[in-house]
Order: sequence, then structure tokens, then C-alpha cells
Amino acid sequence: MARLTGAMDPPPEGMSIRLKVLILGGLVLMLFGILTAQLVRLQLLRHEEYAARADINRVRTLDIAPARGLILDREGTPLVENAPAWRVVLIPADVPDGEEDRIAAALADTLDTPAWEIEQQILERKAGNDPLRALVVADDPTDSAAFDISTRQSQLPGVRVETVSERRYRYSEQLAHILGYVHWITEEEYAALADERYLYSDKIGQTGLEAAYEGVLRGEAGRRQIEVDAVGRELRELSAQTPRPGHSLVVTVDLGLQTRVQEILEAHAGASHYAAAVVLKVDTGEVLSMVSIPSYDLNSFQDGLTPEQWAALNDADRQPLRNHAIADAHPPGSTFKVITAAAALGEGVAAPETLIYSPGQLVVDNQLNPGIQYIFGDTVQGTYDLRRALAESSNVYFFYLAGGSPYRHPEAAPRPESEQERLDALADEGIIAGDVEFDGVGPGALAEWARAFGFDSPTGIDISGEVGGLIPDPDLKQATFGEPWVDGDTYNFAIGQGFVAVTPLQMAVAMAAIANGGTVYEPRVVYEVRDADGKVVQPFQPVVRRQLEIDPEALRVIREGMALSTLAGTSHDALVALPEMMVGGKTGTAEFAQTGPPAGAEGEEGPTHGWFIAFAPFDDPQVAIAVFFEFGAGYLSAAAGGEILRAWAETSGAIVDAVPPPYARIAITEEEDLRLFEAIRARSPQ
Amino acid sequence: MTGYSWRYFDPLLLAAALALTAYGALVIYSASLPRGAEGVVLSSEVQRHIIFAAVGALVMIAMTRVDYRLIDQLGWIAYVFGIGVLVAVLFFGSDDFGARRWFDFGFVIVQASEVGKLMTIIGLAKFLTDYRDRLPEFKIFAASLLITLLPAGLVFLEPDAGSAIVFLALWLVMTLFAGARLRHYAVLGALGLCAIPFLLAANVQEYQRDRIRAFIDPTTDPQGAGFNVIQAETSVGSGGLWGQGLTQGTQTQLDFVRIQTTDFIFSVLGEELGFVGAMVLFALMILLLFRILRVASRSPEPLGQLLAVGMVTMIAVQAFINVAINIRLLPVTGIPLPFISIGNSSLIMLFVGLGLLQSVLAWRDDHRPRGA
Repeated sequence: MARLTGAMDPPPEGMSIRLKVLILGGLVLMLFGILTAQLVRLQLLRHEEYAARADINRVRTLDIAPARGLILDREGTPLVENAPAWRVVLIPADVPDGEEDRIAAALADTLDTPAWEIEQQILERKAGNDPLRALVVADDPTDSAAFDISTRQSQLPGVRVETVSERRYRYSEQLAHILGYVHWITEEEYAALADERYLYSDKIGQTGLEAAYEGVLRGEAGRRQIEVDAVGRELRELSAQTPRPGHSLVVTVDLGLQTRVQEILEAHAGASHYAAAVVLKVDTGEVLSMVSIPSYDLNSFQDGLTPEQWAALNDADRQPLRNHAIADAHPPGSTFKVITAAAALGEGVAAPETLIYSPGQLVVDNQLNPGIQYIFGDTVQGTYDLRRALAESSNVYFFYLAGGSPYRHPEAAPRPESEQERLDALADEGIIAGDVEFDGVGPGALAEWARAFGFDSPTGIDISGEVGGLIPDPDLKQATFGEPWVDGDTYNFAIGQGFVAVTPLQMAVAMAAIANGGTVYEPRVVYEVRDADGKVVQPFQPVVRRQLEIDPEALRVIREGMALSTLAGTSHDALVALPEMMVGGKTGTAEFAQTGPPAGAEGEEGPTHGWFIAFAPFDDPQVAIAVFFEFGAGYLSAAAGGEILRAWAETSGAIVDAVPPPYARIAITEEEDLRLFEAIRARSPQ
Repeated sequence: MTGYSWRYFDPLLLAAALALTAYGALVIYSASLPRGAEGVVLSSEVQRHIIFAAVGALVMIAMTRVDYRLIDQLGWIAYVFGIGVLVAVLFFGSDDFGARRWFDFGFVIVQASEVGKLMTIIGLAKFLTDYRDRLPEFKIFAASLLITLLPAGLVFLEPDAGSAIVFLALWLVMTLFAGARLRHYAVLGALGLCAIPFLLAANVQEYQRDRIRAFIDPTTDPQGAGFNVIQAETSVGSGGLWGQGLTQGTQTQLDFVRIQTTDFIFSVLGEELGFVGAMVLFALMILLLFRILRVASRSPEPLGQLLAVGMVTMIAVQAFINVAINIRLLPVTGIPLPFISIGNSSLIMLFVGLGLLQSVLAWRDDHRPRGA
């Protein structure tokens, strides 16, 4: 029970008021002492660390993407432009926690992307280790969507509407495979190219010139340091380093010719899934036209693909994305005979006047099992010199040139008596026939010649995606299949069948070398490189890959054979298309169902590719072409090739200057043709 | 002899309060400076702070004339009024993100807990004066706690856990000062410890859990509740010795710290005025608190002493908690920094309280001429 005391008495027990007040005062000092101690720690001892942290808060470094270089044609017409476009990006770190769903929903209202997808991406990036890197929410939204979002930016922390440039391809369908396309750098590419200072916002070339000249077109990024507020809004610029725009490319391609070549290929495509054509300037290697059909619309990648477009692009038979002029190697068929001819003349195993009799086929014994015989067929029968053999495409002629006489082996089965008499009679006239001793170039030397012309390795063209094709030889066959090389292989080799695989571009390069007297050029699509001000930083310089060690006279013989081919041979359809100008051509109809050795020799009709190579004009070769139709035939390709030469002649003005050929109309009989040819030959420069 | 004398008016007490308010106005000026402002732009926040400081000073002087011993008769009315305000705000207060803490009268916003705190000081002082002899009885001790828990509970319901803690601090210091038995605290403490888990489970709001979690490890939630803790700490730390200069703090001016005119105003001061600026604040605070303690030691009777002790506790605890939160010593809870934070009702109630203390000084039965 507490003791009652008077109301006015001072407190009876415990400490005095003064002591209590002192204690309270001490407590007050203690509280502020605690605060002071912490302030000493924060503001005096660890000040640097916090100051640095404050700077990280407010200073952001932004990269400024350089303008990608343009691609122009020779007249300066832009083939690719940088069009301004909108892009909605979002810095995940600047999106306040708990607001991801609201912001995702607000963006989804305006854009087409579903809200959950945006939200999920934000959350993933936030959980990752790079939340300051911008997330692209919408690539190329509509103007109204971009405007809508930018006006609401204050309610959408972390969201920014950027103006970016977008590649716009002006002649997309015609130039798709040459120009190539770009895409936003992927996470993998970004990681792999970390040293090259790529930006998250960069586009990177994937195919064609965009890929091959990526380093030239790209330019150098600039950098801006800006001060931002708590929601990431820019306040002022602290420093800036301007970007260096990428260089521009001037292409060798003639837009008008390119357009016409594409139309011609499409008109002749027929049952072909795809086709390709190349037009080269013979004395520089400049690519005047390179077409691969089907083509596609480069801009469709930017605009978004419909399911139908996507399916079409991925068509397994047609492969529109593939540049069939450089990315596919096929057996060249009889167009390869010009190489065999060059090898035979170069090696001296034959002269232009060498006569060889073709009985319509060659019967070859199996070297390992003489009981078995293979028949190598020919489409013609009769006696040919080199020019006429080229013109009419005698297989047997070139079998001999490459592989020699099949009857030279002592173990060869005896010929039937009647035939033997005929062959002996021919041999008496100096014609190589029957078992006359005749050694060909041989497979090893033929392979060397083919490689010298540029086969079996990429031509070195300055766009990406090129393959090297294949030239076989005995060592390769042994190494690959574990089987010895046989005469049949040489015969197949001689006429561009069997293992031989070449690209249309390689064929054009070889054609150009024959036309220009033996120089193998690296083909070029880019004429020169200019900087953003239009100054030429890298002028055109033809690149000679090799000078063939062959008498120019020998090449002239081949050209004459090719001219004869258009006049009186298998390339006659080219003459029909372009009677005003004397040209040389060679067709090829390559069977391709054959796989594995030995090549089918029964002469059965299989599926074929159509080839045509040509040069023009005959008097003064300026261009070389190669035309290829998958599932085609040589004579059909010759028609397309003739039209392509016409297109070149018309667009370049060559047709105006052309000296009319010494014939008024297309020859009707073989004798007339040959007479004409002799007259022409007399005119051609010796 | 009964009456008052201006001779005992403490001008230093008024000066310290005005100096703190002026200091507050300076910091608010910077914190509320519009982005990109040219020259001096006084925001409405600064203007109101200055106006209410002036009004407060007048109220303080006016209060001096009122005999604080009216509390003897009207103390319970004041307390009940305070309770009424706290109840009313739960029903009629302005809804603000799920909290009902103030009345919006248009021209002035009244924070109910500010009224409640002063009225509770008055009520407790009245009760402890009346029952000081029986305070050693547990039921009287317990009654004093109930008197405190009623307003504290109402404030907690607003919800405003920070202010509720201030009530408990008031009770603790005032009852100790009045001479309550230490073992009674031990008993209550034991009971309280047993109750904590239940209270936590039942009553702690989700946002409070977040804040506690954020305090323990702010990096788990750097953009949410933890954001301000980290940013405030960064602001203060980046201030260094002299600070970056008024209106020059990047964290402040770029809005990295939120609610910077109220709960996080100290981060502005710390960043822009530095360690020195903080020491000036502490010096002014200590000066003010010591002048109040002087009132306690000068007052000859318990009511005056208890009023002074209550005011010291209220100001010191709020200042401590507020600053401690800004420098990451305590978890986030919304408590204004007395005299510095904007808050019209807080300012007025502080001046009313100080006016009461001036009245304690002035109205002394035994005052004698000094020095003569």
C-alpha cells in the first residue's frame, strides 16, 4: 500500500528531479551521438564509395549507332537506303518493381505484342545480370503507336521511343541475293563480337554484300554520356563523341541489265525449281549481273513475314534464300568441254585440226573385270575437228582428248570384224579411230587445268556464301571412295559429268578467261568504296587470280568453236535470240541422277540440268555469261543466254556499235553455215 | 502569488525553434525546387512552412499567457478530444493509398496523430500528476499504459506504426520520470514479449513486413521498399564533409530519393549540406531539447515537469527515428523530422507544446525576482 503524501510535496522517493533531467539530457546526447557516429561512417569514412554510387545513379552512357553505309549503283542511285523508323525500347532496370504488369499492359494496348510476353521479358531481364541493357519491345511500330507511347512516356518509366534507321531495299526483288539482308544482332552474336564494340541496337549483315562488307558498312558507334533522373529521363548531355557513319558501296551491277536478266530467267524457267545467271566483264571480273531465281523481298524481313511468305522462303526445292549462282555446285555437262579442249591444246595432245571419229558411242571394258563393258554414248556420229567437236558437242571427241583411245589396252576385247574394217579405213585417212594409239591429257593434268581455270575453289567474289565445287582426280577418288580411278571416270570428267561440280559463277569466270586470252579474275560486285561524303576511299582495282599458261591462239580456237556452235551447232538458239551480233557459246545438258562411281554409261535418259556459257561479241569479247537451269536442257539455256546477251548489248549500247555479221539471215544448211564460218574466221583477229 | 511573468519567457527556446524551422525551410526549398528552375523559386511548400512557423511563433507567445495549470481542470477534456480526433480520422480522414491519417480542410491539412501526440502528453502528464503517489501500484501503472495504448492503437490502425512507437516512448519516459517501479516494466515486458508473435502475425501489415525485409537486406528489392533506403543512404554518404551545396545534390534534384520533403528530408540535408550541415541540425536540436529540459528542472511541480519531459521525448525520439531511417540504422517508417519536414499540423502542435512550456516557465507560484 503506497503511502499518501501531500499534493504539493516534492516527490518523496527516488532520484531528484535534477538528476532525472541530467539523465534525460544524457540520453538525448547519446541518441545524437549514435546518429553522429553513423554519419561519420557514411559521410567522412566511406564518402568516396557513396559518391561513386551516386554518379552511377545519375550518369548513363548511351551509344549512338552510326548510320550504316549505303549501297549505290554506278549512276549513284541508292539501292539501299536508311529509312527512319520507330522503335520502342525499355530499360528493365528503370521499370519500378511491381509495375511490370501495368507497363506491359499499357504497351500491349498500343502495340500488337501480348502483355504477358512483354512482362515476362522484363522480369527475365531484371533477373538476369544486364538489366540496364535495353529491351526492344516493338520494332517499327506505326507512327500513331509511337506517338501514343511517347506522349505517355511519363507514366511509363523505363520506356523510350527511339528513332532508328531501317534498311529499305529499293530493288529488293532484283538484287536480293547481291545486297543481302541484316538483322538485329542476336544474343549469341553480341556475345561473340564483344570485342568489336557492337551495340545491342546494331543490325548485322547476314548475307550478300551486307555480310561481306559488314566491317565497311557498319561505321563506328559514337557515345553520349547523359545525366538522367530517377525514372531514367534524360536531363542533359555531359559529353558526346559523334559516330562515324559507315562507308558506302558502289556496285558493279547494272540495274537495268539485272532486271532484264531476271525477267529472262523467269520466262525460261519452265519446270526448273531454280535458275541462275552471271554476266561478267571479261577484262576486269566486274559482275554486271548476277541473278538467282526465285528471288524474294528483302524488305519483307523488316515488315514481318506472313505465314505464306515464310513457307515460300523455306521451300526446300526452290530455296529462294540461296544464291544459286554461287552457293550450288552442279555437274557442268558439256560446257566443261571448253576446259578439256584448253587442256588438250595446252598439253599439246591435240591440235585444232586433230580429227577424231565418233561411232556414236564408245564401248569400254571394265578394267578390273574384262567381262563387263560400259557404253559411253554420244549424241552425234561422224568425224570432227576440234572446232566442230565443240560446235556440235561430240562426246567421243573429248573422251579421246581426255582419256585417249579406249582400245589401247592389250586385254581389250576384239572389235567385230566389220566395224574394225571401217575404223581401219578411217585410220588410214589420218583420222583417230578405233585402236589407233592415242593418249589423252589424263585425269591428273585435266584436273590441274580445271583448277587453273578457277574450279574446285571459291572464285573469291566479294559476297558471302560461295562454295568451291569439286574437281576429281585419281588420288581424290582413292582417298574418298577407296577405289581406283578407271578410264570411265576420265571420260565422265571430260564432259563435265560424274564427280565434277561447278557453280555458275565459276563457269562464268572460266568463260571470261577463255574470252580475254587467259586471265582468271576474281569477280567483283563492289566497284568502289566511298565514305559518307562521297569521297572514294577504295577505288576499283581488278584482282587477277591467275594467268593461264596457254597460247592465246589455243583459246582463240576454242572461241571459234563456240562461235561455230551458235552458227551451226548446239548453241543455235542463242543466234536466234541475237542475230545482229556474232557471239560464241557452248551448251551443256548435265545428267545428275548419277551418284557414286562408276558413272552410268548406259546412256539412259535421266533428269538433266541445262547450262549455257557464252561470250560476246566474237570480234572483241567484252562480256562472259553463264546460265544455269536446274531441271533444264542446254539448248533451252542457250535461248535464255542469247536473250541475256541481247539485253547486255542493248543496255550497254554495244549493239549499236556492232559490226553486222557477214550473214544476212540465219543459216539453213550445214554447208552454208560452214562457209559462213570460214568467212568469219578469216575476219577474226589472228 | 499567482500570475505570470514575461521575465521567465525563454527567448532561446523560441529562437532555437525558429532557427530549426528556418533551417527546415531552406532544405524544403531545395527539395521542392522545380526541375530546371532559374534563380530562387519558393514553392508553395516553402511558403507554407514559413507561414506556419510564423503562426506557430505567435501561438507560442500567446500560449505563454494561458496558465498551463488549466490542464488540471481541462486535461482530460484535451485527452478525450485527442482520442476523438484519432477516432474521427479513421472514419472521415482523407484516404491516401489505403491509409487514413489526416483531415483535409482545404486550407490546412491536419495530421490526426500530431494532435493525438500532444493531447496524450497532456493526458499522461495530468494522470501521472494526479496519481503520482499511487504510481507504484501496478494497476495505476497499468492504467497509465492503457491511457497511452488507446491513442497509440488508434494511430496504429490508421495505419501509422511509426507514430505509434512515439506514443510508447512517451509513456515509457514519462512514467519512468514520474517514478514508476522498474519491476513493473519487467512484468509488462515479459507479457509483451509473449504477445509479439501474435501481434506480428495478426496486425503487421504487408507493407510493414516489406519495409522490415527491405531494411534487413535492401538489395533484395532495390526498386521497391528498399529503393529509398539505399538511395537515401547513398545521398547522405555522397554529401561528404561539406555537402554538394544547397540545390546541387544530384540525388535530390534528380528525384532519386522519394518523399524527400517529409520522411526523407534528412537525405537532402545530408547530401547538399554534408556532415557539417547535419552537425548544425544536431546542435540546434540539442539546444532546443536542453532548453526544454531546463523547463523541467525549473518547474517546481510535476505537471510542468512531465509536460517538458513529454515534449523532449516526442521531439528527440522523432528526430532520432527520422534520421536513423535516412542513414539506415532503422527500418523505414513514416515519421517527420520535427521543425524540418513539411507538415503544417506537426509544426503548429510543436509550437503549441513549446508555448505550453513557456507557460510553465511564466506561471510559477514561487517566482521571485532574480538577480536584483
